[in-house]
Amino acid sequence: MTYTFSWVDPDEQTTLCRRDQDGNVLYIPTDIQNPHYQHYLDWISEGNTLDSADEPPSE
Amino acid sequence: MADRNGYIGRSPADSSTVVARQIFQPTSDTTTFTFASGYSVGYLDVYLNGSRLVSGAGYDYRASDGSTIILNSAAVNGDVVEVVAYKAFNATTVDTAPGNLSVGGNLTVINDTTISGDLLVSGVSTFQGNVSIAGTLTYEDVTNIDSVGLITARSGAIIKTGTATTALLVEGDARITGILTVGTGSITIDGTTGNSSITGVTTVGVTSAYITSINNLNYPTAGPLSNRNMLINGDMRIAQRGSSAVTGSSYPVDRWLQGVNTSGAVSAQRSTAVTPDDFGYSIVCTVTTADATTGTTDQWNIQQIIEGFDAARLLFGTANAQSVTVSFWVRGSVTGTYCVTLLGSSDGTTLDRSYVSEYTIASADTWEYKTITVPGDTGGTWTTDNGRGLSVRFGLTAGSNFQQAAGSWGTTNAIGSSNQTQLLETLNATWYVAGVQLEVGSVATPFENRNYADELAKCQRYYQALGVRQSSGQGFSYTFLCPMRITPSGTSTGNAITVHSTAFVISSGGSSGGITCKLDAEL
Repeated sequence: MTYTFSWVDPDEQTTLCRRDQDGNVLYIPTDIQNPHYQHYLDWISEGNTLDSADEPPSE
Repeated sequence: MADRNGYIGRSPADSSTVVARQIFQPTSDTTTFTFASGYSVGYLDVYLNGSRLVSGAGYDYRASDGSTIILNSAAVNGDVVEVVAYKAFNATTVDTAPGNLSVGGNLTVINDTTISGDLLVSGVSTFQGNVSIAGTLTYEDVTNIDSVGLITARSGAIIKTGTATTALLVEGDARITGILTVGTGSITIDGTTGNSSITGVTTVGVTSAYITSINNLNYPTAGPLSNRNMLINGDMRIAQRGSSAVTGSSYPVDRWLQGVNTSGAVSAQRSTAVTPDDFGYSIVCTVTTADATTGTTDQWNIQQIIEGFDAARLLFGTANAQSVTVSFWVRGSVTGTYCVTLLGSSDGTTLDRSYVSEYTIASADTWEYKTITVPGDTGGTWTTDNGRGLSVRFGLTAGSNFQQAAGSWGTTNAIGSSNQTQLLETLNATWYVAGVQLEVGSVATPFENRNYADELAKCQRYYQALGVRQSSGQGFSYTFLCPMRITPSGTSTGNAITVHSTAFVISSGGSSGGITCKLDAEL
């Protein structure tokens, strides 16, 4: 599965928005114990970078 | 010979006669001879050189004192004098008999018999009346005592240690009207081949009673009476994510994770149609595309990971590690050997301690109840915080990379042994599990039915599905229903959310509407 990451609030930077290739969105806290955040850190360590701030999905 | 009453021989009162004989060969003129064994006067014959002599005064000899014979004419050198005495033998005077007494036939004694010396009986002794023994009856070589009737010990009975396991064996009923005191050992009531019942009030003494089964139901041998089941949602009731089938590594019901890696395809789903008695739900796993050959990395399992905080009480990784017992109902379309593995993590994330146990599905498509006891792991490092503590994993397929020999703790991330049935190789194969319980001790107790609210609350530490309403696009904060294991990841059907340790915040914007947020803090 391919993901893109961005900050929900670039100023606050407490939560990441992960979007997969099917458009599914997952909000990930910057908690080192969170396995999704750990996956994000691994993703960063592989040389990837964040996208720009995520726009809120339309209702 | 004649006696005074005219009988020939000894008196009829005599039992029999014994003969005493002595021969004398004088070397000089001799008139007096002493008969060594004595004689009864009148019961004596004397022969001189073979000729019988006549007794009496004025005849050939005199014998009147019971011991000497006096010849009227001296015997000379070369003569032979033979004296024969006839002696009475009566049973009443058997003590005067010079030798042993032998009875060729039966010996009947009408009255009492007194034996001052020892009595040795080589054959079988039969006593038709009572036998009284004033002293101690001691036996050294007796193997068994067999009594057709009662044995009564008026002052008690001491039974010395018998064989290694049995000093006293009562094959029938045993009744003690007094107090039964058992020493430092124990009482074992074997109810496996029959029932054991106590009808009156039973008072247990100052320490404790160990009861493993009441009304044919097992009770804990260790651990608490409530919250015995260390697993959450063991009866598969809670499904906050919905009851649709999951096809990848996901949760068909709360807390139960399907893990899969295969070129085939599988599904896992909560079932209400096929359940064992007393259960309303099960998980059914189905092979939708077979993987004909199990590769080294292929695997398929259903597992629940217990948080370290909850597993800590098992004291794994210490010398006091406690045994645990897994019990569950299982049903499979493919019979054979399957595995349940307990796993631990030294760092809270990586599973690197395993104990594989095998069980057998004996009959296809039939519910079977299984219990497996696993010794506590005294080795390794076990997580005792909010990380991965102890996993219970049901293997459905295990490639060689996930195999470990059954029956001992190892350092692998195991799913099964080499005997594991590779269910993925069979198209449309199904495997069901229900009523899973993990508890401390070596006995599987009845499944602990907790009420729905309690069970749901336990699940919500790991996953929460919340319906909220956002009014006029106003952002707001929503506190979790209960503290979650970690700061969770979340999804939202509405505005974006930021997730914090105890709450999430829905971003402002948009219009009013309902939003479903799902928070995931699973292990």
